[in-house]
Amino acid sequence: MTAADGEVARACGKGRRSEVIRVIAAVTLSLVLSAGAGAAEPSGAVDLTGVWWPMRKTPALRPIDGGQIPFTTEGAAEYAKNKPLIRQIDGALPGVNDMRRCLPNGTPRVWGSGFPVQVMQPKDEVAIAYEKDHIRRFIYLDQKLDADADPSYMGSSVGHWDADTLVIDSGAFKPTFLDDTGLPHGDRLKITERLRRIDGGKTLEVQATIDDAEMYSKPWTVRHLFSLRPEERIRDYLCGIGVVQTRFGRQGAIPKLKHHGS
Amino acid sequence: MNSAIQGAVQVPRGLRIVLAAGFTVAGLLGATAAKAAPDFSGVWQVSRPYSTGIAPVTIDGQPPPIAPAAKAELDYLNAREEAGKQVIHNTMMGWPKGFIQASRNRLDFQIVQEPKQLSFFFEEDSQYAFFYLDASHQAKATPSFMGDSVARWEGDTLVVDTVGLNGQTPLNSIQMSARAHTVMRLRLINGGKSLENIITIDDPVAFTRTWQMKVIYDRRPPGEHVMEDVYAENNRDLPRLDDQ
Repeated sequence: MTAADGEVARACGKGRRSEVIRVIAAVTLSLVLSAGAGAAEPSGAVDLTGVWWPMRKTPALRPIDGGQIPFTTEGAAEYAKNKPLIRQIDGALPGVNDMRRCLPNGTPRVWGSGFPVQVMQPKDEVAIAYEKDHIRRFIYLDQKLDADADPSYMGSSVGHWDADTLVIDSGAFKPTFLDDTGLPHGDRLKITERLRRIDGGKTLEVQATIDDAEMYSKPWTVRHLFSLRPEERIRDYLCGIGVVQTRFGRQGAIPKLKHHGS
Repeated sequence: MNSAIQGAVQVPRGLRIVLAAGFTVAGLLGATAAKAAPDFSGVWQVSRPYSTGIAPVTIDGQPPPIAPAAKAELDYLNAREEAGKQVIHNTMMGWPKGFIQASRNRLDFQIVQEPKQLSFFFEEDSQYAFFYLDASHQAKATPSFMGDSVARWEGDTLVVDTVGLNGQTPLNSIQMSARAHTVMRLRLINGGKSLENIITIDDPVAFTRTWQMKVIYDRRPPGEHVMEDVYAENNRDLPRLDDQ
């Protein structure tokens, strides 16, 4: 008998039998649970999946602490330039040579758009579908932010779980506005979003921290709230020539083209 | 039998019962899981012969049975293009193309599979389409480019039923009508490396009869990501609407 054999034999001895039974029963229970779980379970610490309805539209961001937006001198100047520009863009329907109104909002502006969002949690990532502008983004879990990522409106995003909170770190943004009033950002903008369920799980809280030393003297945080709407479905969102068709029907019907192809 | 080994494998009766019961349940659940829906999740790309660059054909390689009015429209568009004139299409408008056309674009798309929903995220113009499992069509769905799609599993095949198109969903240059009804049957083939989609199109306005086409999608390598793509950035070649 080897020493190992002896250990096993002793472990199976009558005096330790009940302990072994407990251990193996626990392992068996674990096997049972894992066999029943399937691949469709949400990845991560908390299930954030579902359609979430904004509790309010937030065209103008304000710091969560009630203070002033901490503009740098350059940020304040840029904001002053942006305010009339964004009114011009949003004030008219998109024209043939100007579809700026149809560009994706970027984050955190899209959270305050007043449209629902759907969160999905496939393996190793989180997918978020925003109805506004049919924006969607993928957050890759437990990976490093790609320093060389191509810029995009929603940025490049990675995430991790901090207890019950999904923490999303994003960078590499194309030029966008941070809200509907034209809040600016610079090339080195970093956004950290923290998503968690509150109010017994019925509410999704999204806090977004804006870290952009070029435009703001210190990081500042905004907050959006959404309520769970299991019965809702995300719809087509259209933004094109002469029409912005949304679920709220704000701008009339889709123009019927006499002729068009694929 | 070697006494040492015999001693090592002796299992008390109580433990045998626990193990037997546990593994039986685990086996049953495992068997259920094995029979559960195949996993379509991942990043896919249409196989080139089935892409939008190739005119759609029926499953037996024939031209689609286009109705006379739709054929006249198609001839008009082809003549315009041959004359070097532009034709407005959904891409220029930043409008969705509908599932069939979007999935035939050579850009990647990602499938996110959940118990009650399959979501298709197309790189092309960042569009998406959702199939709701074991659900009913919405009674008052607003007609849309993607339509209203419900799905169910038939063995290893996902059957997707789509209605509620808005009459501006294209199939290449053929315009599908608001009366179109499509049924897609998707299943993994080639050891899971490819996804086959057999599409039945019933559109009494655009076509003279119900017909079928096939599309094959190939699984992209692990680590492939669907990128952001925004057509509104580059629409400066749009023609004037009144020139159509």
